[in-house]
Amino acid sequence: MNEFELIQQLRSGDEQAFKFLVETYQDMVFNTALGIVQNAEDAEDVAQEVFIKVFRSIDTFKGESKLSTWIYRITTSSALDLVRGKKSKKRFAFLQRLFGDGNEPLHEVPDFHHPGVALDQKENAARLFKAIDQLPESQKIAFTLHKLESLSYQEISEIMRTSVSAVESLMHRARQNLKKILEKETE
Amino acid sequence: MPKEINSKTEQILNSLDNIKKAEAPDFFFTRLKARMEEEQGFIQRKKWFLQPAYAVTMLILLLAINALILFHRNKNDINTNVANIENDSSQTITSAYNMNDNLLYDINP
Repeated sequence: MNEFELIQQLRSGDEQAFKFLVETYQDMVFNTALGIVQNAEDAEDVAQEVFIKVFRSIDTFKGESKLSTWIYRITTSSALDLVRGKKSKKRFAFLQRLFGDGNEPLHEVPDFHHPGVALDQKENAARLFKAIDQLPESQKIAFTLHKLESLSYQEISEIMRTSVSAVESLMHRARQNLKKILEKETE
Repeated sequence: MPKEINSKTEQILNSLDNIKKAEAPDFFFTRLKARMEEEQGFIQRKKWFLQPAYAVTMLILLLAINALILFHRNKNDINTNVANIENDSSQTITSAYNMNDNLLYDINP
């Protein structure tokens, strides 16, 4: 089934077409979400939301980009929404502790271990993911898509709706920021 | 020492090179489908009041209540107006002739 046929069948609500879509893109969506949210359960939640959004809004897909580009866009946006939501819950909980009895223990988020990292790199990768989590959103997206999905700057620029030079700049700044964060930890 | 930190930092920055892509969990589609069916059922149950029969009944009820309130308000307004007119006329006569209310009632048995 080519992309055009797939989209037509999705628009008509064809369940087999939807199953084909999910099976084709589920790893891509899950891996991308995982890199951003850094938690397998959350990544699965995000992945489910992505496919539900794709199913419900397939009529709005104009075909100006590839289907995968559109799905990447929805994935990164949904993943960032979840991260933002978690961070604001953390802030609220912190304020509660400030103004409440403050007896609840602070929960440290465990290190994230990506299943695809080689054993000898696990510790380094965990430190890197922690640092990635502190990057500004656009740098985080560009770096994650490049490193985890092996996307080219051209592909990333289409997903992020920006120029290739802007992506180069984001990557450069991401690396600079990551270095600063990692060197600060080492001191 | 700074050279060592740089070297260590570079190692960490390169730790994701040759990373394998994570795969979606087993039975992902099954769980997704179950979630979509549950959400669809929830939406259908929530929207019962939007069905035409219920919506029309609610509208008629609302209009009837409004009409009742307006009717009662008009009735009360008429009674209030009559009382006000009687009071006004007695006060007018009283003030015109510099009389008090008791004197007015003496004149008008």
